[in-house]
Amino acid sequence: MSPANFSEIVKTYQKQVYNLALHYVHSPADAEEITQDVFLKVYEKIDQFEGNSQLKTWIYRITINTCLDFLKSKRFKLFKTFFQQQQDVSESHNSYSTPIHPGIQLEHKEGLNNLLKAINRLPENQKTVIVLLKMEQLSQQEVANILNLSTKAVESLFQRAKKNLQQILTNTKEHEK
Amino acid sequence: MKNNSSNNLMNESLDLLNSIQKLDPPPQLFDKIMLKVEHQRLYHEKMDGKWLGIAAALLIGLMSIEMYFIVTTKQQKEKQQIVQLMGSTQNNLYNE
Repeated sequence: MSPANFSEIVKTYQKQVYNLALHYVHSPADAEEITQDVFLKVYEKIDQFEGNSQLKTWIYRITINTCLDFLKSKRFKLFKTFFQQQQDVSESHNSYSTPIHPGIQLEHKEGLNNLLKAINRLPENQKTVIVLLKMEQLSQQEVANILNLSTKAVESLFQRAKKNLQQILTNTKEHEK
Repeated sequence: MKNNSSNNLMNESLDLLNSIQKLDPPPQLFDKIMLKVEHQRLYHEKMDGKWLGIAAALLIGLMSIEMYFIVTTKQQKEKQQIVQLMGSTQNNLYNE
């Protein structure tokens, strides 16, 4: 692939990748790091892209996997720190999980922040469905294409995510009382 | 009834997620990406060169070993022939 073509791809999709990463990690610095990794993977794997799906769908898929890997490695590092230095893991975990999404507007800050914290506690696939359907505003068909699932499976994941979210929010409220 | 109302509340909360603004990536991000990709490309080129060097060295090594065996077996054959020749000459001399 020529550098000119690749830079065109970066220009077209960098905003999409950056914002999707922000939805997962809420930290601009981490989102920037993930965006760089995503395009590095795109560059290395572009020969393997068969064109069965749209380039946009393919890049979405790479971004989601990179974000989930990033979160896993971050969690692993926190546990490693805990075992190595005997520090309080909950303290360091909180310092990571607290970044407030920079795209939240002031009037919804508290409500949305709690909701995002609850979303972060969902299983990976349920979280991804919420992010893609509600934050990225994609259709069920588009989400199904990205996740290689049927639209029915996406709908069922969404319903389960809503149920779990409800549970998490209720538990948090009770805990606060 | 209660389930319905909590479901509606949840839907309303989730609809709030639309209000999260999409941000523009930092202006230097594009350059950083292109730099990283270029760095990776050069690294691959360097590694390809390295592997080529290793393969050539292995090939030369194998060829040298083969040459060594060819030469030593040839020398051994020649020695045997000389010994045989000397042996038969001595026999002839004794006979005479």
